[in-house]
Amino acid sequence: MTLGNVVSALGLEVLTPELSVNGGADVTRGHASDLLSDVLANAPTGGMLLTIQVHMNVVAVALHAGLAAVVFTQGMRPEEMVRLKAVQEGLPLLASKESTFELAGRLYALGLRGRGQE
Amino acid sequence: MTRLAADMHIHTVLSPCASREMTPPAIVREAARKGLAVIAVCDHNTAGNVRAVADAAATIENGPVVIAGMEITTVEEVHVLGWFRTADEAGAAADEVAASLPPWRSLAPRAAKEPEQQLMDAAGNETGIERRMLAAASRFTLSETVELIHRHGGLAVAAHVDRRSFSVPGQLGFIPDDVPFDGLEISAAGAARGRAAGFAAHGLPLVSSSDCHFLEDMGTGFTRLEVSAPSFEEIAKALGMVEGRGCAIA
Repeated sequence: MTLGNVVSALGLEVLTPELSVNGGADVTRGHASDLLSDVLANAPTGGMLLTIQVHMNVVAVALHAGLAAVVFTQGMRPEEMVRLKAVQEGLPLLASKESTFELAGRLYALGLRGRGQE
Repeated sequence: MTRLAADMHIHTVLSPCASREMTPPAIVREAARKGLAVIAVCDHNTAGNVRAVADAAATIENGPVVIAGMEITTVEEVHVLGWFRTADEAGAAADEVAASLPPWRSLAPRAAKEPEQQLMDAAGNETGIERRMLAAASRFTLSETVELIHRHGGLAVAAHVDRRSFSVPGQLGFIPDDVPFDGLEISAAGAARGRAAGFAAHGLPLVSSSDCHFLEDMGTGFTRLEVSAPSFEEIAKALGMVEGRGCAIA
């Protein structure tokens, strides 16, 4: 499933319309966390991150972890500086009013999975 | 220039997580016993007991110089220490933080039903109970918190950066280079394990403190100050490494 398919299926708001959400690799994994140290350590490469963490560092951490996109849940929205940085780095930012729990459940129902156990 | 031992992160009975033994007279007696020339009172999101501890220190022999401080929880749940020139400036900063805190709420069924966040006088008598939830996060972002501390003339130090919980690296993955910290605090345990070296590359002064919530832990972490006197102004110079002043982790 492409990122664009996920965006349509869940009705996510695209905060970075400058970037295309279509055409990338299929998204098969996700991670939910607000601790960026945990994201660095545990988020699966190529996955989507669900978070309420809107600090600027989320962009750098997502890039370092090789994530496909970041979804800000529960109505959280980053500052414009963060958005511009993400556009510059080519990292799609998405948003939803739903809670992380609800969105994770819906992504799971679409077939996405977490990092798995090691 | 003289070398002084400073433990700049001490909690009192006003912090919900601190032992009830952390009263103003007990704190200053313990500091004097352990030869600490400087302590900073840094309760969570409040400076309400700063004056009482300073007054208690003035009544005993070899009482420490007490710096007015506060440990602010940012909206990202990062802990930042603010050290201020005066209790008034710490109080003004604390008022802004307090206005953004929720009211008390019991954290667990078995936890205290009523807040045990005690305001005290210099003799250790309870003078009031703080009814805001001091363990909660403020509404200030990390950058706004550092700006708030600086606006009130204080020094902003990222707390226990070597720990996973409530630290800048723990919450935010790494220390952003656009936040103008005046220093980084290494926990007592981290300093003992040689973790300070890993933070030297940030080019910020490193300090260590006990972050004590119990009397016996006071002084387990401390900073050696090279200063002409135990004062806020001198500590600011020591962190800035100017005019021959300096600081080092013991």
